[in-house]
Amino acid sequence: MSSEDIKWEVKSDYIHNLAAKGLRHDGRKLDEYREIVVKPNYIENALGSSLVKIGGTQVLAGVSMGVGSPYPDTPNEGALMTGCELVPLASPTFESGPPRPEAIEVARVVDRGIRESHAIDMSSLCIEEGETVWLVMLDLHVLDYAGNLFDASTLAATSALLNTRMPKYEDGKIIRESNKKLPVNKKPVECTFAKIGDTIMLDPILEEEKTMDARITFATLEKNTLCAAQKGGFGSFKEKEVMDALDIAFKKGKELRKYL
Amino acid sequence: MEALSRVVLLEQFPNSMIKVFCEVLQAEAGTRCASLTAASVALADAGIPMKDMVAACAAGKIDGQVVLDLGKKEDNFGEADVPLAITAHDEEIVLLQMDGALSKSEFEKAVALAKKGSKEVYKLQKEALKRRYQALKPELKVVRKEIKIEDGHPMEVSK
Repeated sequence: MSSEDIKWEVKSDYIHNLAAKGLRHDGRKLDEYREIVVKPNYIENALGSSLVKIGGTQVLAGVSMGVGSPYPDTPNEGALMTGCELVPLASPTFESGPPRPEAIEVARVVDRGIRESHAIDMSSLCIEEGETVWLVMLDLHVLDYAGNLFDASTLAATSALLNTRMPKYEDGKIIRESNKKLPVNKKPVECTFAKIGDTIMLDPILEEEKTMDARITFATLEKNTLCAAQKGGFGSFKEKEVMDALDIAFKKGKELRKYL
Repeated sequence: MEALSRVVLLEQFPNSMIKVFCEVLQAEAGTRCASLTAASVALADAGIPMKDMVAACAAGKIDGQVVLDLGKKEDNFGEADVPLAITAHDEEIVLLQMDGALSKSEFEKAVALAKKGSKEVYKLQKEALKRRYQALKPELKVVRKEIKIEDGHPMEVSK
């Protein structure tokens, strides 16, 4: 066991003991977010972009668009592709190279939240049915990792999509235009909870994520609609715990949407 | 994988790994739940010590109705899909996913329904395991040996 492992074990014990008393390392309430900062249009050259900070976690989302062929089952709809990169500068545990399971999971959870909410009007992204459609490429760059990548990434993604300028397609060429917007008519946001012992807390920090037994993420929309949920971790939840967390996710989702 | 780790007594297997392979022979919606249900039975059949069984079943919404176990078409064209897995005895949720659009009350209904379905699945799992050992009974008789001790010397008598 390395000294680093021992350090984590001690920290983990401490987080566990605090959680049992309903307390947290940074003094937050169990249903409280860290400070949130959203900077839309952060990269001026991108079609759409946004930088989101939730406490020490920073995620930059960028949107680019291309033209390609549609999926066979949706010949008259555009397509969304989400990628996530966990670059070494964000955390000592991240390595450069092809995406590892953690990065793929972030991309998938964010992708599902946006896809299942039907936030982007995909049918309006059809150029020629069955032949050419717009492809929306959403890139998530984690710049600093201090826990809760899901919520920060989804907030950044939704914010970037909302300020994406839609290009024009003429004679096989993509022409940039600044006045037309990508048709985004819903604002999906995600709320993630960690379960440590019998305590459930919103927006876990890195130490809490390393200690948690299980986690659950809810993607919600306006009018208290749930559009995606995902449980993770080795532990388990009781039915009531899930429903209580969902209530908080609806409430906090409204607060998150104010930043968009 | 995460759903099964909760029930397998991993502490009895230090420095080792239990591999479970699930082969989907034909996909017609509900592959996740079927795989998990099968994996749980396979682990029990392999004699791996477990605290509980994991049983899985999905619920969903089609045409505004919350229903159990979506078929392929229902999954593709329905409004929501909620796969769920529980531990059979303490009813702890070990797998929960959801996509589509549901209100709080619909989600509650779907979870309750999927839970009910999972309990049905558990009954079938239990029966399957019982049948398997019932079938083994005659073999067991042949193998069983009675050991008698006579004058301090153990003697084996086959039955």
